[in-house]
Amino acid sequence: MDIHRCRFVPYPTSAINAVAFSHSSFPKKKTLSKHVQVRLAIGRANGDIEIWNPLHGVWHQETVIPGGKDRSIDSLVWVTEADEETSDGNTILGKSRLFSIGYTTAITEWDLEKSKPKKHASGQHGAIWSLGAQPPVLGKNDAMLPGARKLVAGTVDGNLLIYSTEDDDLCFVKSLAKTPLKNTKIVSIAFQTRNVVVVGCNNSTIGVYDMRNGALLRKMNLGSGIPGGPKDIIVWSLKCLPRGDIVSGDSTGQVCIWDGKTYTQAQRIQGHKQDVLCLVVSADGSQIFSGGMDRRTALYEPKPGQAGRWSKVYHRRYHSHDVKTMAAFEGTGLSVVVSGGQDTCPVVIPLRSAGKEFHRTLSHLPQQTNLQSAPKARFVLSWWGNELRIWHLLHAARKLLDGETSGEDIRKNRKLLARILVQGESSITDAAISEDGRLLVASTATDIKVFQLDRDADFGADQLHIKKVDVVTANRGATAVGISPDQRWICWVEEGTKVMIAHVTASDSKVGTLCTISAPQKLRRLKRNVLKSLLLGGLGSYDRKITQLAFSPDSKVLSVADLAGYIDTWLLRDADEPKNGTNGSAGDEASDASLADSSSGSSEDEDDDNASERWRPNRAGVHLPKLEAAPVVLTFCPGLPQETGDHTLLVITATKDVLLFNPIRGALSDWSRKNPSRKLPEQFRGTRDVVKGVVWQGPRAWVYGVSFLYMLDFCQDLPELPAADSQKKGMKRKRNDFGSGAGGKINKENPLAPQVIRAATGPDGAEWVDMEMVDADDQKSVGASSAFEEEDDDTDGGELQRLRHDQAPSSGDDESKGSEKPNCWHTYQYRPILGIVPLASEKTMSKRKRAAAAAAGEIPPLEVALVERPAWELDMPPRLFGDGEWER
Amino acid sequence: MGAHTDANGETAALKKRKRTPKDEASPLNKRLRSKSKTTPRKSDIAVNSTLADSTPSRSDDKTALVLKESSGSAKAVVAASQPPRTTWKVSRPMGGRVLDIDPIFSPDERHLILTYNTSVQVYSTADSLLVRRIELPVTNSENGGYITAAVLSRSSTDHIWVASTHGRIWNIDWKTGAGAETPLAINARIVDMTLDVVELKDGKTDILLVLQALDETKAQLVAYNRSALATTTGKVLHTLEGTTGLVRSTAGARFITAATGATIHMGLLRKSFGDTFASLDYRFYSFDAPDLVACLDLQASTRITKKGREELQQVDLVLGGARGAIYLYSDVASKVGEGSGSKAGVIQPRKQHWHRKAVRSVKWSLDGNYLISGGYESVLVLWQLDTGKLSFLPHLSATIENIVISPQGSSYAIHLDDNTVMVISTEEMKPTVYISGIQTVAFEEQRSKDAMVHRVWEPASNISAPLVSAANPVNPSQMFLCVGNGLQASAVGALPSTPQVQVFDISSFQGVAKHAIARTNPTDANITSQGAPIIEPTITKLVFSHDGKWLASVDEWQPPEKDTEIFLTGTKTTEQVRQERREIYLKFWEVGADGDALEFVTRVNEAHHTNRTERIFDLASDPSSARFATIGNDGMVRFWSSKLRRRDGLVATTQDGQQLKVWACSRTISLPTPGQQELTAEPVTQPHRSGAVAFSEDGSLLFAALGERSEAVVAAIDTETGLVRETIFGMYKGEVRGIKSLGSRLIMLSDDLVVYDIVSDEVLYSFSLKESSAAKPLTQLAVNYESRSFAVAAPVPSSRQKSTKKGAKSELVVFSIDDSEPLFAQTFPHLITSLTPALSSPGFVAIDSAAQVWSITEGGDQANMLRPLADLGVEDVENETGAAALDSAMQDGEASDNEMQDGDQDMAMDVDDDDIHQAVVAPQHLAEIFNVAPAFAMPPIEDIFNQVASLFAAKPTRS
Repeated sequence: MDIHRCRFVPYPTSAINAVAFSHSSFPKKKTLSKHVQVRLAIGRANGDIEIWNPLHGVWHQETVIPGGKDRSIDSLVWVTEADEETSDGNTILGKSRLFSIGYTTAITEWDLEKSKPKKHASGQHGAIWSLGAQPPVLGKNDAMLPGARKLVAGTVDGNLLIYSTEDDDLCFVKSLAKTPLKNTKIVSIAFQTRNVVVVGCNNSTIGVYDMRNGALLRKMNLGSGIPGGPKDIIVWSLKCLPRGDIVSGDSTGQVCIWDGKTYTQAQRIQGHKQDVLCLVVSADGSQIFSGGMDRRTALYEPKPGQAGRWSKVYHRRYHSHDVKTMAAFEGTGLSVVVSGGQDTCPVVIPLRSAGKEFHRTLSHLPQQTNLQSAPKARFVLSWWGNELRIWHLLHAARKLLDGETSGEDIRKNRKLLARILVQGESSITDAAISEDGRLLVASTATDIKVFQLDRDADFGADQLHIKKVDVVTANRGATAVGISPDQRWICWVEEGTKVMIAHVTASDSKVGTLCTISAPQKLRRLKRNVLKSLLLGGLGSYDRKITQLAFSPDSKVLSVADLAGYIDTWLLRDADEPKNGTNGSAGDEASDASLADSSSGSSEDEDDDNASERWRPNRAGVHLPKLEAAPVVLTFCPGLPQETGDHTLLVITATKDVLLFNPIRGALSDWSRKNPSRKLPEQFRGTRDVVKGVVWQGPRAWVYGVSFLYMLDFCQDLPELPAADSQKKGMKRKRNDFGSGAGGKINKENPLAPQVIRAATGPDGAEWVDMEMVDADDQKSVGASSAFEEEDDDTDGGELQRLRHDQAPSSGDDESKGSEKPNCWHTYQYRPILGIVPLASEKTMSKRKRAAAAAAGEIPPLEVALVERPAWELDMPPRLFGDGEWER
Repeated sequence: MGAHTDANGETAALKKRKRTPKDEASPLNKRLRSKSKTTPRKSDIAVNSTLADSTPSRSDDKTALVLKESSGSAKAVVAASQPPRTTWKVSRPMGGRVLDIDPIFSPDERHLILTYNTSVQVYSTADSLLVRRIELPVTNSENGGYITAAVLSRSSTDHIWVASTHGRIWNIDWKTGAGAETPLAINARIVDMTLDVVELKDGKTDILLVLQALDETKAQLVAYNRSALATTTGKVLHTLEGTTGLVRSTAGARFITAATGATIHMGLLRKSFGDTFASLDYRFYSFDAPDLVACLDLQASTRITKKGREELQQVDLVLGGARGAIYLYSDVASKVGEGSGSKAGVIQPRKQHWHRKAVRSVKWSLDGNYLISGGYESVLVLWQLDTGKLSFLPHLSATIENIVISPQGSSYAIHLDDNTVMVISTEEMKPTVYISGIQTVAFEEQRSKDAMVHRVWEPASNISAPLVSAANPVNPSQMFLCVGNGLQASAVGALPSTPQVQVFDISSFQGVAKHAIARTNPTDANITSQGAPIIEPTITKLVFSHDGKWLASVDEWQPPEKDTEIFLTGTKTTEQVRQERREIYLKFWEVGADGDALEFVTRVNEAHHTNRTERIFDLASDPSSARFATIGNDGMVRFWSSKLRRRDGLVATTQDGQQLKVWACSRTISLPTPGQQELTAEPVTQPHRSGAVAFSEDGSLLFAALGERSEAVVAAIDTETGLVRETIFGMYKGEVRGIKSLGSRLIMLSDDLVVYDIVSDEVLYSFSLKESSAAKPLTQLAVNYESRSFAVAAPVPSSRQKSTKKGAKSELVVFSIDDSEPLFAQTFPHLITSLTPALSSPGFVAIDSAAQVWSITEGGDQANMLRPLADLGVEDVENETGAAALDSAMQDGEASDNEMQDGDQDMAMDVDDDDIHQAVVAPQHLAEIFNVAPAFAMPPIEDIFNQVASLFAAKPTRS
């Protein structure tokens, strides 16, 4: 494989301004916890909202709701309503709703399924600077009781506002209180009880208000600022401990504990050298985390033997810039704090296992690769914000390598052909380019743009002539787009779930080829049997959102997959084909209707003016199983030897299950049957990063994630596992591999907290027994304690350490094998990978030749462009240096 | 040797001649040979101590001698015999280096007990005076033992327990000094020791908890009581991995902590133990700390159970890591489930990180609210645990080694790396006691705690250069010693970094002042970005003018090897590059009246230079006038004298009208060199040139020796005219290392020691020196005009050691100017790093690598050196009667009758002395008396006198 290592393709990641979990912990009832959809929302300075699924420590970025021009997300709040019992005994999980502010006067509620705002609400007041959600009504055993939860917002002019979220609505109710002083900004909000709200201001005060009547219960003062600095202390962050004590973090770098009964200061801890920007308290109130401008994340715990006194345990610098925001989640098997800041990487920090487990820095790059290529034209397309860029990689890597290369040659090898700015306020959600680089589709939240790219001879070969092509859309925009390989079809996903397809006709005219696009046709998805209670509660039908879209190489099969793991396929049927053809049944039309979602029935349904070809649902698709986790890769295998008309679909899920389907037959392929996911090599499954994409080289799939590149050969079977532990490992790994959701256990280096305490049993300490330690996270209740112990040795070490460790022997293996074709290979050399896209070599093999080569088992050559976006290349505002901070 | 003509071509009264010392020395050799036929007798000169370990041992035939006859006659063994007529003797050593062992407060805080490398010294906290010096027979030659622990006995606070690595344990009464001669021995290497008092059936007894090495990989924690020590069969409590570590205990040994490497072992006394020593029973737990443990401290609280038994309530453990973090484990005992079930809790330490390198010492404050720590940064850090706030006491003079909280908690004792100990009051953070020892380059007994983790550099382990020192002619007891910022800070390069001068008064045995006379980085982080230390200049010469008003110094600096890479262009070698960038300064200083002020007058950047700065080999002071002479690698001799400083043609004056002076070169003389007609200012290619200068006693002649290619010429220069009066050849063999003039004799030191009479133009006698090349720079020559004698100190060559590492010994031989028979010869247990004549008394002062000062004197003339109060008998008599003090003096035994009488006389004055010590009158009390009214309205003078007298009058004792 020839690799163009590209670092010139920019991707400006934006700073994280807000993180929020939809739930603070799993419900106590185990049956419910299976269905509860915990999501993490990350809001960025450019207005993007990312929805992450913790997925037992996998941390899968499911969707990105792109922001737009001059938008930013400055605070995110989830409101999760109480669970409801229905008459038939089912439980409807409480709805989770996401609200955001962006330093404007409005609060926005987001529709996650459609990836767009659901409602904006505003009132006659200044810009909102802080937002908090009223705690739910709690009944016995802290069970949530139904009851409306209000949103409380603090403004730049000192107003405290109440917004109602009742009846699935969002509206301004009233102004609760107004601070008499001018220039008072409400910076932070916390709730002591359901009716007592605590607000932190920028004038050294913390006010305690009664929500019912707006009365000021108490005003707490932090005194004057540090000498030499500003006079007033800004209370950047506030949190309340379960017992009512209030924790505040301020601009002096101090964390204060306030007595919740008397509202007096109980303790003041100098935890940071600069402003404390965010705080998090654990659900049981036994831990406080703080993050600040000095890049530190500090942990505080109560002093043993001294009730109510706290002390700082340690601080670490997980971030390379300001730590702006934090959120915590605790549940069985998952107990983490997620923090984010200016350095754009979310960091997952173990909460209960603090000091015993590693942290994990998630990638700043998006999960969905915003990189496409037109292999035949050797174009690389990248996009961000409202900008598209097309690069041309002039020469094959082989040529550069073989020729007398110099650095200059390599630098001259690329050319920025076009920069396209998409009009409108919203950012690009997805884009696609056809294989020959002549058709470009880009979608935003409001629009779909199609461009025709002509390499105009008049302007020279390196000039692109860009022509806009009209397309009929209902001003809805799309979340995903695709172009069929033969460029006759454009497909897009409207409102997250509706699949639309339109026909492209290219007609020669005097001025050259002209493309016209027909009116789109709606493709019906198969009706799935989803519990109604699930659809009504939780995140609703969010998980039916389509994230993956793939055309088969012959453009005759279209397949989409959604977050829930359902795969839908459609087949292209020629009009002249008899209605009851090989696959279609007599009652095709009728059954379509019956299968279709009840919601479908819109007008643009059946008006296909080119009645010659029609896309029909693949009935056999119903036999495809629901995937266990969200798919991250959905692609047809081009190079696998197969019968004509047959197709193989590769699906990789977030949990690294690799499955090959035969969609037309609706069955697993032979390879998948023979090679279950647990047989996949250890290095592949052990890598924590989620797979981002696949590049094909004949039957070989080059699978990549943000830090790894892995080759799997689907012509060969995976090596057999040692019989003894195959079963055990396969069963138990999943849960324990990830510890409490952050990095693995610290074993090799000395952790802060000892992992093992030993007691001497011999008369003079000659013998030792390990003592059983009471773990805060009671592993026994999960029923996996024993597995935990056994697998210590392979869950150890940091990510990097493990990678380095594993790298050496495997590459050695390859060499020793020599002539034999390896069935897997991996490298961690490239990181962080934004994406890998294939390029065709200049003289492409004819199709026939390629088929012949494939039949002979030869591996065709492959050339790719690999784009790395290292974090240090990010433009970040200058960092503040504190006392004694040394840059070495 | 070829024909030769004088460079000056002049003919003077003294004719230049080519000398052949071998021929000249032949009659002398005969004489020597005849002498040596008589068997060397054991001399009966007085040696003050019988403790062979700590006092110099007499050289006998077994030790390899420094001097042998130059003729090569194998029989000629000189130094062993002592002419009975001389009465040279060596005083008992003073000083030493405070070890990295916590200082001990006496329970009443009136005394501070410090552990030195060769002794235990008791100081009074009221006046910082040395009360008693208890010598311990620890020698560094005998199987490498050194003192590793010293703790105060809990059952009898008059005693301390001291342990050394080679298995000796002393129980010393620090109030009398008894017990130092009778150590108890256990057959193991002692790593660390602590002590606690345990309530046994037969009352409270001291239990020594000794961490002793079992073999190469294991150590044992063994408990001893007094009877177990006698039989050397302790009770083994626990076995640990690793052979270095710490052991501490608290709450009546209910809780023991031992740390080896990064592993913590905790021992909890079982509740069921049976009140006897044999039934001591501990339950041990172990866990790993996040870092190597450099120091630790415990804090415990106990409670009384219903049955009236005392029980452990909570133990807090604090560890100082080798990488600078402090880990605080709260309530560790309950975490391992002592008492409550068998399940252990999560031991989560709190990490505090301020120090950049190893935490040398961390201690709990008595109330447990603060931690006090210190280390390399020379900052005392106070951690307020509740708020997380830090307060600092910065800019201490050197790395903090030990911190001890006084029993009442009112003061901290801090031991610093520059061999000082101070006591700081906790309220005002002001020192109340300051004990400063000699801050020379000494051998470190233990490895530094910073060396626990790998550093990019290693401190030098050998002493490669002598200690540059000079005695102040105005105040002969003041020694000016060239030192660095503490021992570890100076031992960083090939040559020690010694940019400072310590003024040390050997009569009071206190450091008087410290001056930086070269570039220093005193308390800054003295590290480059790569972690290597910044090397400071080395003072190579220090000489006073005859009247003591001026001080001349030479300091050298060259960039370290690793910093020269970028300059390596062409064919240059690293050494060339370094020499090109060498900085050598000749500086002149005006010495204040008390010797504690040095005022910088002149700096000469390139005193000797060719196309680059050249080394200054030697610096000499004119004994008759304020004039200095230097000799350099350019083959020149320069005279330096002061002149008035002029500004715009006018004489510059200070504000109070004193004329300012400036030093300048007054004369330059080019020296003749053998094999070269004329010296040019061309770059000197010879790598091995050496030189020395000395003024004649009357200052009329300057003898300059310049060696080249193991051939040296000595020129006698008339200081008035600057003409070379005579040149002498063939005196030197090898490198020129020194020249001294005494009367009409010249003493020349190279590979040979030659005494030459300039008048009779003959070699009186000569010796050759046996020494390794590494030891050569440490051979020193000193001349005492008073006793007309000179002394040579040289390292004893050892077959085991090539370099001058720890364990090296030195030999000192005193010669009379007239006689080739040594007056005195002795081997010292440590390396002598400095040898200076004792001005105004017939003797010499030697400083050794254990930072001890020895005085070698003739006759009953005691050197003006401090002795402990107890030796003088003027010890604080609060607890001791005069008789007891007398007893203690008598116990010393070796004190001569003469001394005893001195002691008695001092005793007679004792009472008065004591009162003067006691009466402390605060200035504000005096002010109350005198400032009541203006002068005209003052009360009668009689009243005032009575008031003042009442202040000073002793208050009636309470008893």
